[in-house]
Amino acid sequence: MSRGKEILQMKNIRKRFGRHHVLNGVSLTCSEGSCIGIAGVNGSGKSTLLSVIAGIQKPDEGQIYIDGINILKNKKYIGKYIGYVPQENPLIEDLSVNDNLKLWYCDSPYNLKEELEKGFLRSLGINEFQKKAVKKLSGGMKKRVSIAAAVHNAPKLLLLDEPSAALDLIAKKTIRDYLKEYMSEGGTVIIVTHDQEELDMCNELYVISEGRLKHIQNNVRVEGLLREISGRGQV
Amino acid sequence: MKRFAVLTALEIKKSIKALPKLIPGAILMIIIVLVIALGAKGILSDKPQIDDKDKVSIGVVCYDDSKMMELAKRILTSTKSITESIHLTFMEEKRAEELLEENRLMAVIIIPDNVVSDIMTGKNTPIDIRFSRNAGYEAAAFKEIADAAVNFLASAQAGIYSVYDFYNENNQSNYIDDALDRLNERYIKTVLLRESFFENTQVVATGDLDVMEYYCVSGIVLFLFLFGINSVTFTEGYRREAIVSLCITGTGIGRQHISRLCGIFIVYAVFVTVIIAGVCAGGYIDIFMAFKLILSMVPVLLSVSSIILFIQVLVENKTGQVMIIFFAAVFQSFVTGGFIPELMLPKAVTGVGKFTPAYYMIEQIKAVYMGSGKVLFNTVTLAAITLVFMILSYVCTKAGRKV
Repeated sequence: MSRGKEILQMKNIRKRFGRHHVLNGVSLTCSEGSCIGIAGVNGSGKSTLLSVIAGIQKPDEGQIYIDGINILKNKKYIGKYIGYVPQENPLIEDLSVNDNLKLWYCDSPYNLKEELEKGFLRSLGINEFQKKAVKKLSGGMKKRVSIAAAVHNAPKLLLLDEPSAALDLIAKKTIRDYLKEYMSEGGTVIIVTHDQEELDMCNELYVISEGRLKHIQNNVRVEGLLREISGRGQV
Repeated sequence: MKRFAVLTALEIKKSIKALPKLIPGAILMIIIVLVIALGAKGILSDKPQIDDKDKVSIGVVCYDDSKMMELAKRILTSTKSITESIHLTFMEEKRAEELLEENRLMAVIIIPDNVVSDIMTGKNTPIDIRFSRNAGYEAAAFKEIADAAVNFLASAQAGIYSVYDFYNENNQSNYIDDALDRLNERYIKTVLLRESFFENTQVVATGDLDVMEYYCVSGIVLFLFLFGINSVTFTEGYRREAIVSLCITGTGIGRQHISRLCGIFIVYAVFVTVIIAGVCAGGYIDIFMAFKLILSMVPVLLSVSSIILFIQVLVENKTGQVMIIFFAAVFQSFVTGGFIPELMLPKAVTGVGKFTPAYYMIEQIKAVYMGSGKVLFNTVTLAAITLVFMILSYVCTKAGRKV
């Protein structure tokens, strides 16, 4: 399935909260331009896995390499290589969209004004509501701004935690279109999702269960995925 | 570092944009504080005022038109302690008799001609005092005062007789008149202008400041805390996701808190500057004092901002934040004498007050206003308070949980 050179290597990642082993020896490899889908029941460790890759939580064991660099030992590279879109938006609610973007794009290789006029921020549709305060935006708008914030530094790896949850069809399509554009330029996506359209975008699919990743067939439908997640039947 | 600078600038911009929403709340709080200050002034410092109708009406019939008597009359009618409780009216004897008969005067004092000079020369010319038939207790009280005055004059006359005896025994009787004139002149001035011989020291329950100043100072601190309610109502804290994302990009929790502190501080700074400028424009303080007050308020505002930030970090829920700020404001105001002066509070309560940030905020404003040398000490203490609350905010955020 690999399309380019390996951008992410995770080896034997373990993470536990108290006695609960959330990640129990997770290993994963991603190639440039690929899209990895991860599914699993609530509390199975999907978000923990993303937050470990994003450097928010420190694993108890294991190693993570991005572009050959051990990011657990070189944390300053995390911000350079990884963009992270959490489930809840990471924006400052009192500020306008424009001000939030100014904050993220102050040291960006992109020109914020240009991107809003004719670049990827325009393709995300952010130019339409850039003057609004974040707290007045809909969920879909906030998600689009969150993605825009996450990619401010042109990251090689984009982590998305259920980006389409509670969004309408138009918002979902806008995000999907952007992700396709991002991958076509060599970006790698790891996406936690249960949305069929997003699953269809993925080159590889994994189910996380009992702290372990299980590789599954990539043309799976949601119904099959449900059976796989619940451990009842083959896909 | 660049993102930290941008974040700080955006926090300041956010606060300034929120200012118009904060104005009504600020005005309301200023009114509350002024009402407390003025109310307390009324309760603590004002003497009960006697209405004109409650004053004792005394008629004075004066046949002595000497210069000394004129002087005595002027002094009597302008002496505050007399005019506050007695209504003295100079009139003809016939009219005085009529008013006394109608019970419209409680007493009439009839001063015969040459009475002052007679007193000076030791001649006992009687002063006639007539009371109203219904004067009752007031008449008895007035009689006591009159007796005291007679005794007082008797002691003065004893001095006059002593002068006579002294000069006669030394065969210098030709000096007596001159000596008596000079002694009488001094005596009259000394006795009637007695206020000038006492040091006028005002003792108030509010310590070094007068009541109004004291309540304005503690009112400012109460306002600063209550204003925090306004700030947390109209501004959001950072979501955990925002904190984490900023951390990933190199703007750590400490820097985020410094930026937020600047945002809260700037709102306070604008309001306090406007208030002090208003007080200065009203002529209550000069421009130099206004400038000094604004500068000295910087550590005060930083410490109160750090406390508000800590409460925002500690409690995510806005209602909880408002309740904690309100409780902190009222509690600190009480134990530092913001409602009841410190001197009237039990020692245990004032002891607690000295461990509160509000105490040092009040001390700082007082020190600057009075020009005492404690400004540096208070500034250092307030800086330490700011640091402590910033560290607490950091620890609380770092722990990733709300205590």
